[in-house]
Amino acid sequence: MKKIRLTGLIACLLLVTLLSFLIGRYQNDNPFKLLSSNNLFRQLFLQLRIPRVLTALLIGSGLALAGLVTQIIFQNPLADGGLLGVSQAAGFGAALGILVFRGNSIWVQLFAFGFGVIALIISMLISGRIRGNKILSLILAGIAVSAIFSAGIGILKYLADPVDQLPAIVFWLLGSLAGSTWPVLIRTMIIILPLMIFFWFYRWRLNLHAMDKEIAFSLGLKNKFELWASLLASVLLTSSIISISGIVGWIGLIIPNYARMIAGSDTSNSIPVTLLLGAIFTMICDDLARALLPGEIPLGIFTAFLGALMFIGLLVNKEKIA
Amino acid sequence: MNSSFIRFNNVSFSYFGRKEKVIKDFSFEIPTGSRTALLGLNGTGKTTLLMLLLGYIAPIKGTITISKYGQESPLTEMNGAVGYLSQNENIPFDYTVQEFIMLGRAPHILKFNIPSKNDIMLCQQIIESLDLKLLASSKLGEISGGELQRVRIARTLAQEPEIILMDEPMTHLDIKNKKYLNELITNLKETGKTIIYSTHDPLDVLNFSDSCIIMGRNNTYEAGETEIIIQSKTLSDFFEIPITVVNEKGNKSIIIH
Repeated sequence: MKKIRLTGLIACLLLVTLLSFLIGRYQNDNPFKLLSSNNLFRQLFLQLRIPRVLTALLIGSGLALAGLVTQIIFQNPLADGGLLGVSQAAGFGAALGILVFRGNSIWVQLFAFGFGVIALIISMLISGRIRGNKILSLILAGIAVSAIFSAGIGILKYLADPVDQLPAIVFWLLGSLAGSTWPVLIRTMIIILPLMIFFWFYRWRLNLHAMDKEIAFSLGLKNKFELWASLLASVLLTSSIISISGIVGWIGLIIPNYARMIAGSDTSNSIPVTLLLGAIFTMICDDLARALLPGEIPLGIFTAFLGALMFIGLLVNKEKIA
Repeated sequence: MNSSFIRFNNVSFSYFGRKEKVIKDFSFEIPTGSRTALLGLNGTGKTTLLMLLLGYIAPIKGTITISKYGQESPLTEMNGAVGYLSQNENIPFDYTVQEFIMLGRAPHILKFNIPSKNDIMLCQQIIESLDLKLLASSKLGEISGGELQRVRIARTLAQEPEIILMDEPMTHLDIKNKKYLNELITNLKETGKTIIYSTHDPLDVLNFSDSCIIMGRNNTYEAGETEIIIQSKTLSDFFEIPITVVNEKGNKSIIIH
């Protein structure tokens, strides 16, 4: 049963990847022309479309995984990777990068990533000063930090040049993979792949984080370091992805819930399904973003729209969330 | 006489930032391989005492050791050997019975590993011995409270702990499940495990424990063999109401006036 399910999903992933390679707005877009076709098409295909589809695959599975890990650690099926203010802070960082560095993509990425990590640190410092339940205080601190950075985004938008900077900021905040090239993909992979590999091998033990703290302690989760390392890894995953894709919402919230519906709650089963579903969902959303209109539509619009529809589906089958 | 003990040596504990001690200068011995009950009113520190035994919190003064054949070592050095069953457990994700019990194997599985065939076999045995076979693939959300309690005990047993701590395990159980649990505790004791559980029912203590610790307000306590400790006067003092203990020809009962 488990094997059939995984094989089916992998087949589905391959199919969607292949279709995504073929979908696009380039005229006379016939893949069979690839070998013989003109230079422009080959350029387009090799330099733009392949890295973009692979980036969608990678960030989709990464965001979904980060969402799952966050849900486990916070014992809350409705949490997601941006919970600790990371998303808003990364958005602020990117907007600042667009303003200061005129949209130089490496700086925008570095700023987004850096501010995401800063938000995590601030959330952790604040929660350290709140008495009582550590997990709850982290969430509360995250809400506050999130609000501060979203106010910051407001200021930057107000200051931005309405002709070129403001649209760039807005587009970034809505999320897009339009800038994905090989160097961007490779930069992302360097951070994301090791984190994914870590969680892959940690996939069974991750379950322990979902248990009450005293129980987890009795089961051998005695070291605070292990908790913080897992949390840090999931936040790094989120902020490094947001730094290249912009704020792409809903994937981290929705996909793990559907993965649990398919594979059950045991993380050693739900992690592989989460990775696969996240990749498939994001590639489909990005296909729509690229191909539906002559111009590019921000990816975040599709993930939010489809994600919200799926969320409603989940609520209607409420017993399946918990 | 048993020669192995868990020993509390002048143990005191207070929660962070608070002056008043929850536990003050406790010194007693719990024989290993026994059923030991912690008895007391709400708020007298029973759960705190269990947390100290688990090692989840550390005493601010004194030591908790285990002495085996004359050798004494800190209790916290027994890795994975203390199982804990909390009174209520928050289970946010809907595991199957089998997956949930498997989590008990965690102390025996390396950090970056998944359960081995042996782990799976051992869990199967525990599932069968606790009569959970029919429920094995049910979700935790679908089973009754009494069944859930049994599943949680199964997970604790999968840990293969030497010492099992249970925080008010009888609360919320109907009389059938309560009887089952009491028999299980007795069986576990016979396999050499040490079971320490808290309760506020003196009758449970009288019927199903070998030794007990009564905890009262203002850090008072009495510890020792159940037969000796559970007397009308002691109970009346600790529970602050008149209580008579009846023990006629092995028929034990508690009368609250």
